Amino acid sequence: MNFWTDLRIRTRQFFKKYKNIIIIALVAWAVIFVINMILKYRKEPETPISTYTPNKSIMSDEEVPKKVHTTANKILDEFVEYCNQKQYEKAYNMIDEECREEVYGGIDLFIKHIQEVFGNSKKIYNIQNYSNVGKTYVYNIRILEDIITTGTTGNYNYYEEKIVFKDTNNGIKLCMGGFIGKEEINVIAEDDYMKINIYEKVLRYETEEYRMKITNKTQDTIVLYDGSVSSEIVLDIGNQTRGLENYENGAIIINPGATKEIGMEFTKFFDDGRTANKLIFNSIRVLKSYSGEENRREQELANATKLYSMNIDLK
Amino acid sequence: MKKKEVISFVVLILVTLILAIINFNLFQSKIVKPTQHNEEIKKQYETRGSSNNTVQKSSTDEELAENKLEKLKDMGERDRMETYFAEYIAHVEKEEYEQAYVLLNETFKANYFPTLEEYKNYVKQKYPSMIGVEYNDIERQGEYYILFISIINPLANKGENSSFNQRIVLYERDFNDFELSFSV
Repeated sequence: MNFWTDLRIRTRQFFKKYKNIIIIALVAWAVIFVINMILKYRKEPETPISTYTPNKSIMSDEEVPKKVHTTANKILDEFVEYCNQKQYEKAYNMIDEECREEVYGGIDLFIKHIQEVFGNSKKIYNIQNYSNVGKTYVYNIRILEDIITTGTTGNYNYYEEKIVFKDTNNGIKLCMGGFIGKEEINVIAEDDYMKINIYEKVLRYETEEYRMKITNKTQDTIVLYDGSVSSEIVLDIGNQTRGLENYENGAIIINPGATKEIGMEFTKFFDDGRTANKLIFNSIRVLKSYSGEENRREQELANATKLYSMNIDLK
Repeated sequence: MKKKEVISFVVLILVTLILAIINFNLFQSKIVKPTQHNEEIKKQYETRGSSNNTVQKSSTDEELAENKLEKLKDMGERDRMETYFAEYIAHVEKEEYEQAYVLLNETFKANYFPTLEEYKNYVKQKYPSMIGVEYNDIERQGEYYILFISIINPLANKGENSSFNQRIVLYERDFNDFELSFSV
């Protein structure tokens, strides 16, 4: 048998034997080729370039998951619609229960706030994702007149605040007024003079508040804060400390044998990546008498039972 | 399968693939492209052959619109918004009130200028016959843009009220598809 005859026979045998494989390979190749051609000639629809990316964090460029921002938009559409229609109770009930209690303490204050913000004309809103920490998504919301229908005639103002969406096991929760959430911490510090039980931490976008019970175990007066010394109480957040914010009563004084409930608030941004390590009482004064008068301070301090400081670990 | 058969199989597949690619390229370069080119020439010829003033005009309008669209696609937000407002104010300046009126938001019109006549009266009274525009600032509120502008009357004498400020709100649905309103 000569070479060509042999090749012809072998080729025929080969194609006969591998016919199916060859057909499948050719079909697969054709399909890939066609898909490739379609993708090559398919033009993406061009849309106007906009710098408005409401669901992209301005702090980190991180995108909020679609599931979260789709629900968040629905919640806000509904919330603003209720407020526009003055259905305040329905709007109020959309807010996370813990937040309702902490921020408004009841529907009356909420209604007052919404009436101030919304007034009597229809309002619209826009949002911008600010930062994300775990499954907590902080947005900035602006509420303003429906400007395309008014042309900003009369005035051009807007109200803004931080709102938060939390992706929880029970769905996506809305928090307003910069409220993030509460955490139980249950830290106890005790010595011969007093007992401090820090039971809760309240997180807001700009602050952390530590709620505690302080018991004076002595027959003397204990002064923790009266503004007479700098940095009397500070929060240690690593390489920085933060002073006590606007303590509303001006002084923290525990009478002999008494227990006082106190909330201490410190500036600390929720998304600053820092953790509070210690609560530091730099100037605890156990005094036989306390008048609060500047001219008697030196004498009262000279007669003090004890002057000391205390660090409470929060971790 | 024997080693020899495997080699033959691989060689055959490669040869088949090479032949298929060559065939496809030949098909593209010798049949598809010339045919397309012929069609284009034919179309151009037909267009030229049947050209008259109307067709030429609409073709020029289409080209202008196409050019405008291409320019808009290359622009950033601020430039696009200024271009849209420039289009609106050009209609006002040329006293093409109907075209300007069409560009206004429907609810805005219903609120402030329910009829074209009312709009005309406002515009005639408010704007100078020759309009200069100074763009002072731009802000974005969600999907809306707010232009802070000064309308200037270049023909005004010294001491006369030669300019006033206005806020323009723009909403862009798509390229060259927008609506606007302004502070009355």
